[in-house]
Amino acid sequence: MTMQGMTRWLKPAALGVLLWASLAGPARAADFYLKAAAMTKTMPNAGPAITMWGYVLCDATFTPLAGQVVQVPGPRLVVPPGDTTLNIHLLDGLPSAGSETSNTSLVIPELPATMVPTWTDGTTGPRTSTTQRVRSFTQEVAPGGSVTYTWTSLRPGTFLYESGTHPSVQVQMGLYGCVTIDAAAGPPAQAYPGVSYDNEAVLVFSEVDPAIHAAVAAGTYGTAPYTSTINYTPKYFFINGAPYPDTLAAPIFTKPFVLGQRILLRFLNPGEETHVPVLQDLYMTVVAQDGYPLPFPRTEYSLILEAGKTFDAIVTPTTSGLHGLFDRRLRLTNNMASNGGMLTYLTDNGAAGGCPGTVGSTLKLSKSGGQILFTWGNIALASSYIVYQSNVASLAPFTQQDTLNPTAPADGTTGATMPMPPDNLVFFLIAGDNLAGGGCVGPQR
Amino acid sequence: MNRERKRMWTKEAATLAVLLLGIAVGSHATILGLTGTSPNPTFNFIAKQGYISTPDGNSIYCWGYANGATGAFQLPGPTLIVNEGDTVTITLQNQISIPGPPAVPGPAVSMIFPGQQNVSASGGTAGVLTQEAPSDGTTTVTYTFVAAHPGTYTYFSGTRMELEVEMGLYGALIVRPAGFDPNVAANRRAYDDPASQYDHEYLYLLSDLDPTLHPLVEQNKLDQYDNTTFFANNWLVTGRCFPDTMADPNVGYLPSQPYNTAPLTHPGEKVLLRFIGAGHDLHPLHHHGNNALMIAKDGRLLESAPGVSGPDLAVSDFTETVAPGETIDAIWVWYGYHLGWDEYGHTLGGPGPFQPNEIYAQSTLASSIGVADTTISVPAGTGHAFLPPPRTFRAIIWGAGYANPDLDPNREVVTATRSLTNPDTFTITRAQEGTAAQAWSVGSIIADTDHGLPLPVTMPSIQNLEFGQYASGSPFLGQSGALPPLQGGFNPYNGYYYMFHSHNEKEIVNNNVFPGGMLTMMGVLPYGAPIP
Repeated sequence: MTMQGMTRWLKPAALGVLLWASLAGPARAADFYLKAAAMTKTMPNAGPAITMWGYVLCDATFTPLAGQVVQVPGPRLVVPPGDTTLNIHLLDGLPSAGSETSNTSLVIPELPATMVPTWTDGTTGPRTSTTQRVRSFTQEVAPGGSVTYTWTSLRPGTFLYESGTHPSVQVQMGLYGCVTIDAAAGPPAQAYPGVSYDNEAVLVFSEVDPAIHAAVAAGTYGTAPYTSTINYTPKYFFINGAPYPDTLAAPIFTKPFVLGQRILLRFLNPGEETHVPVLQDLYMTVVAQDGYPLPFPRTEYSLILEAGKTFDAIVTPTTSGLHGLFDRRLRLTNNMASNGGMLTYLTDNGAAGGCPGTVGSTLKLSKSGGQILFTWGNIALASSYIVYQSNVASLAPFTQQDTLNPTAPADGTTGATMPMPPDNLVFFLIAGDNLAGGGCVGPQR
Repeated sequence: MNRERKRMWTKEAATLAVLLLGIAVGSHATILGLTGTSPNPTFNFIAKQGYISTPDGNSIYCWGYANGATGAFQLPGPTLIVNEGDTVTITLQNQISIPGPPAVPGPAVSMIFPGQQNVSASGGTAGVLTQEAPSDGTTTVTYTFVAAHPGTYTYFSGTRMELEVEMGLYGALIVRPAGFDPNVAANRRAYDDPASQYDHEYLYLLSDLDPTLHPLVEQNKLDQYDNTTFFANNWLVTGRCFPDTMADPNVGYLPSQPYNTAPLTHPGEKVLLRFIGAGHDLHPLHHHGNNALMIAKDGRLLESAPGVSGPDLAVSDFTETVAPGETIDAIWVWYGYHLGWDEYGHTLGGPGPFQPNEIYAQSTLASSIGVADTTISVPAGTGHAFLPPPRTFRAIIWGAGYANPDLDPNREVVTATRSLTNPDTFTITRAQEGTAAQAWSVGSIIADTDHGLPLPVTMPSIQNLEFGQYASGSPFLGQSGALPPLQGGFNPYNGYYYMFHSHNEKEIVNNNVFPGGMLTMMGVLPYGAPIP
């Protein structure tokens, strides 16, 4: 989860997979290499390990890039502003799934592309028999093979990419992710012409019915009792591939979230249900849907986020604290257990222009000699926390800094220490499976 | 959309002025609730338990916010009505005790207020979204916020929501705009903007419940409570299922469900519909009789320039899809717009007063016409008020010296169609309904109206008809007709009744029995009929 959380945010340029057409300025292409493969996700509270299908970001030989693992949702694909072509090279590394096909494909519903349907008998081209039904919206690839999908009519926006093959099974198995194309790189970046933002978070809402996943993993999907997804009954509800409290295990923002900044929330729903994200204590300005900017932005605290939908919204928090973000359709359990599901927080990592030294309401930071002291309030401790670091001045993207293993305090006041970084003025974001918060320490500016 | 809005509102403003002259004012339906004392209203809530009645004969164990120590358990919680700028304080205690056996204390409860910013919470214990009150009956949690923006809002438990919202811990919050005055028409508004002015307001707090889950809580079988298999079988409007929605408020046989939703209005009056989603599901609340203009969502006007433009992005539609947690404000107006007959049963030339709402669009002739002309023009910019092409409408032309067509013996009925290219030019077919073609001078009046239009069908014999409870026996507003024994009887003023209901039709039942559930009847009463 840690590495996924981090690498999801790294732009492909930084990973060396961005290929620039050598000459002639305007024609630039972004190339991504994805491998579809199985992975398992373990649910919180000693929940089950669920087989999912996800994607891993690879180099041109389909070898996973350093630090990359198969993840759900798949890696975010950031197409640099101005690129005119998007190529996604897909290797099918899916396991056999019994009578259910392990062939796969990849589509971006909102971007035009040349589509070649594959029929249920495996053929493509004109329909030759009334018994043929569509199995794949576009050219599919068999296990072990690879294929390249190309989009040339790019426009700025937030888009879903997902499997186009037997989507009722493969999409909910986890074959989905986010593509973003900004209008301008900035700073500040512009999501759409004239819509600038200082920080951003991708929020992918999806669900899992473990019974169907188990049937697919066992190769028994398609036979009773799971002949289809018609009785889809999801039990786990994810934001960015994890249910609460695991939603807190990695930062949802790219970099420190400073009060007063314009924060772009990119909402996506690759699931099969309508969700209604509600912001606590905040309003957002909805600036786009389905990758099309709205001529007149709307101010609201709730969104009707249907399956397949994307919304872009700007929030500008001006007060410190935890702002809840949850699904008001009450998908707030992990199976039957309360305090789970689609819940996370938009939390600031310190007030603008200063270092309050507090994190959330239960964690405090202080500087002592060459050490930073993290002090927890009276809360149940996780076994470990991950510390992400950024710089107050530059607001650079978070990098993982250290892992803390605090001793469970008897009186609820003990904490843990780590060395003070040399730059002496840093933002921290602490993530564990029951706490997320941030803060900064160092001299007051 | 903008054209529609302009047409409706400019005409309604004129209508209202006429109404004020002719009819006693003072009957403006308002929403029941707790108002507190401005500018620092304080409410003391205690989460309690009890039973609600559903018309399928069920008695369902629920939880709700009650008004203080003496307030009974109620569903929904008290509707809080405060003023813009008020500092609102709500204290919360928790007396929920699950009967069992074995009896156990209920879970902690809390309140969150989407749409309110900078809510402070103190006391109790920290939960995932706010401070919570444990079920000890004594611990007090205090929530405070400044109600900075007028509008329709909701509150609900922020603790174990899949359980506590289902059990009934939700309610409505209404923030009146600054200067609100229910007795001054211009200040009877939902928002600061004058376009949100209304005559009557009604609350549609929509929720759904799964009656199989509630006994599991009542019997302390929470380990079997599975929200992921939620399957609603009862649907409620402000805490009641139809037909209880139509009963009076605070009736003795619904002691835990104080609020009704029995809307009434007169033709041409503006009805503010405050929709709140309080359950699990989205409900497509459909209103018959006319479109409504959705002017606000989540307590914010739909406007291109917030605070400046007014609700210029308002949407005219006949179904509001109300999502859980969301609020919508819509203004619904009824008049006999192209009903196809004169709803008052009048004939052209009288008898009976000409009613102002009978005119749907009106202008004057910009140039004179002879008896054979088939094209007329109206002053530039006034043609937009008429039905757009290719639709054809009935119109009456009469002389400028007469207040209405009944007074002009030479009035002429025509059918008219606006030009596709010039909205101020109409093609007309002359001398309809037995009237004679006349030469009309500049300034003569042309109006789109059903005034004097006879009922286009011959009424079948009553032996061949089935009448509902709200049938008057007559197709005309304010008139009654013969009814078979035991039919009708719920419509003493002989109004028109329109169903307002979830258009997800499975939701207008009570546990499979139709009619029921998320349904109310909007009554349009003739002028002069009292509205409580």
